[in-house]
Amino acid sequence: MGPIETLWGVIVLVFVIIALVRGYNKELGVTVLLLIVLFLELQFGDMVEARLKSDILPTLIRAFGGDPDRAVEVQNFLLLLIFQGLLIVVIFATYAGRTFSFPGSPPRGIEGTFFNVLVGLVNGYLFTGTLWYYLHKYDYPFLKRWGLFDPTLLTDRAKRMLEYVPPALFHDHPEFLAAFAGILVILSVRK
Amino acid sequence: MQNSGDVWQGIVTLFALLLLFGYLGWRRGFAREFIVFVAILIGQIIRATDLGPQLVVKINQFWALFKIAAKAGFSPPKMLELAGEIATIEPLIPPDRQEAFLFLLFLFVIFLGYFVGQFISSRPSPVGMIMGMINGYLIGALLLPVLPRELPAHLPGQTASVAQRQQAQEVMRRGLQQVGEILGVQPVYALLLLIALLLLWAAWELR
Repeated sequence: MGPIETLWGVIVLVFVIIALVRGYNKELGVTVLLLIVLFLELQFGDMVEARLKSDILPTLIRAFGGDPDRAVEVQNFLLLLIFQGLLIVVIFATYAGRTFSFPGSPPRGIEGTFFNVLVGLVNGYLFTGTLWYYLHKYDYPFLKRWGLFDPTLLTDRAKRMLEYVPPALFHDHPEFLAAFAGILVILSVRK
Repeated sequence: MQNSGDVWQGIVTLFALLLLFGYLGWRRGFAREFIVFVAILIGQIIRATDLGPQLVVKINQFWALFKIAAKAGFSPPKMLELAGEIATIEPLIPPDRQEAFLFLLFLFVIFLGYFVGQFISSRPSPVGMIMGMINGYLIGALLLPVLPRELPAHLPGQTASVAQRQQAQEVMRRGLQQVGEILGVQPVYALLLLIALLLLWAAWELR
């Protein structure tokens, strides 16, 4: 199996291809929603996680006959499901359902293609970077146990890349994400 | 070591280049500037890789063949008779002028990029400005190192000294570094800022 960053790279490439096909006016809507989800997760994530860990998850694990102190991996897995799940649901909804797209059509030629690729890259980076961040934060729950992934085999490049994923860069200032999403929304309704 | 005068010279040069090429890029538009960008890449590949010297060898071979053909009055049988003299023909581009030739070729390819762009429709745009600035930086970074810092200029055929080249490259590098420090940002945040601006422009360009 190849390095995990290759997998993320392929997913980013898929986002670029989708952006080229759909046009970046539709993709900017996805960008805005990704920025908002990321802002919510970073702004309220620690609070939600603390509440879940102290109260809700232990109760849930006990209800299924488990020992919360020994079921750290299960807790991590459930937290991962919550944070990644929210992102995946939003992405699925934006692509599958009625999309929040920007009015107007992209410019033609190289300029339009350039923007399509750029927005596709940004969306791919926001999506895969966030998935990877939470996967790493919660120590790849069950993937390790089932032998599907060994985090000790992360390449040096992957370790460096983890410092530059969106949640790592904006952890201390998630308000920048919200502000930028706000500016994009204002631009979308200016016409 | 660079003194502060060199560093400021680098900063001023860099800002002037970015300003000038940014303005040109804005006026000319993205498509035209992108063609120039491709021309710069092609020019640099010819100049900095084995492709350049190989091209010079081919030109010299064609030149020798042409001289032999001219001497033989373009008669094939006579050309075969004179084929042995081919090694005695003076090359069109002697080895000591090879670097100068490749440099001129590099300039010509860039000029061609600007010239070809005239025939392509492109409208003024902020993305054109960014592309123009990238071109300005590339042209500056690639051309300044081969220019002497003090007059008189090199004599024809004389190669730029390694010391001069390194000195000029260092001035560009230090200038860029200083700009980054003046802006007070780390490269990754500067990159994020650039991407954010591009996204805003992308949204603005929708029509």
